[in-house]
Amino acid sequence: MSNESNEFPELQRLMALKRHEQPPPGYFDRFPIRVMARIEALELKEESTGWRSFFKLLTSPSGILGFNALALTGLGLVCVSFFHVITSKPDDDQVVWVPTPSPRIPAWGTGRWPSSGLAAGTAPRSFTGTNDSSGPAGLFDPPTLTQERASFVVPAH
Amino acid sequence: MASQPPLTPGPDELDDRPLVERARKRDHAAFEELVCRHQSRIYGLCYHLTGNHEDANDLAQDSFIKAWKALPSFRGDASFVTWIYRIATNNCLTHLKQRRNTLPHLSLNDLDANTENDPTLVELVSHHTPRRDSHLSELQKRLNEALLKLSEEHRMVVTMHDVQGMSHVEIAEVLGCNPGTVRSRLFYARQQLQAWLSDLIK
Repeated sequence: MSNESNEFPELQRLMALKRHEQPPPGYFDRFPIRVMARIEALELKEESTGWRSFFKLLTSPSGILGFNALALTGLGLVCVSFFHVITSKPDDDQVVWVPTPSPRIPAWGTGRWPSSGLAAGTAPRSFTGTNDSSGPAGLFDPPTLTQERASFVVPAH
Repeated sequence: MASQPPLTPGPDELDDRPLVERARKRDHAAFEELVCRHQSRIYGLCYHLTGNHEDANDLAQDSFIKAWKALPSFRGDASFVTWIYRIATNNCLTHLKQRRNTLPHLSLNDLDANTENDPTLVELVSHHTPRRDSHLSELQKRLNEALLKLSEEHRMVVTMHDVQGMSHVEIAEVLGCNPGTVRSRLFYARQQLQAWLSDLIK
């Protein structure tokens, strides 16, 4: 006890009685366990607060409303995209990769390909092989089948 | 509560620092050790201020939990025990202000086995009555009732000085006032107590 003041000695002796008051037996053995249990429970609660608030938001009326609105918006966007894909026609300008141009096949025996629309050197050679600007030999070989004029003879009976 | 060391930093106080550092890094074992070291003082303060075991138990636990929460911001300007004393004091003051409108109820703790061996108390009790046990309980009740009549500020100073053995400077540090204020509050509180307990102190 502090001896800074020697006033009221009788009162100080009486106050000494307070020092003998003790909590129930074993109280201080259990006290730290209780405090630490409360601290751990508090920490667990704080950890789960984030998830809990998220689920609480989802299950609240405004949360359900917002979630439904979001879901409907997403569904609408998917439907619009699907409808657009179905109804749109392929645009020729948007064709980027064409492996080989498909020129019009000339009439048989004319010997020349149309030059318009084809880059230099890409036009096939003449079927007859008379034109130098035509494609490489053998690439467009004419069919080997001989063409014969059809004749129609009515068999005599 | 029977023999509580003063708050002045001694070897034990210096040992608090590594534990406090570890506790600041959320080390539960370190904080539990700090609770073990200071539980008696903090419980004692809460008990003597409220005069009630149940309230003291809640307030002491709350004080340590608040300390755990606030530890990351503890700068170490004061010792840990002074800091936790401040937390407990503020906790008790808030509780007492809320309780002001309701009648305080006493649930006095049992006196320990050393009570009857305390020479000053033996003399005091023998002087008044031969029935020592019953008179001790009566004394205890009267004393607590008188303490509860004091204002919170005066009860705090008397408890810290006369019961817990803290110096004026230590009390001033905890309460955030100067030692002169502590002296004057202590003098006034003792005068009041002496007047109320005059039939016992003769």
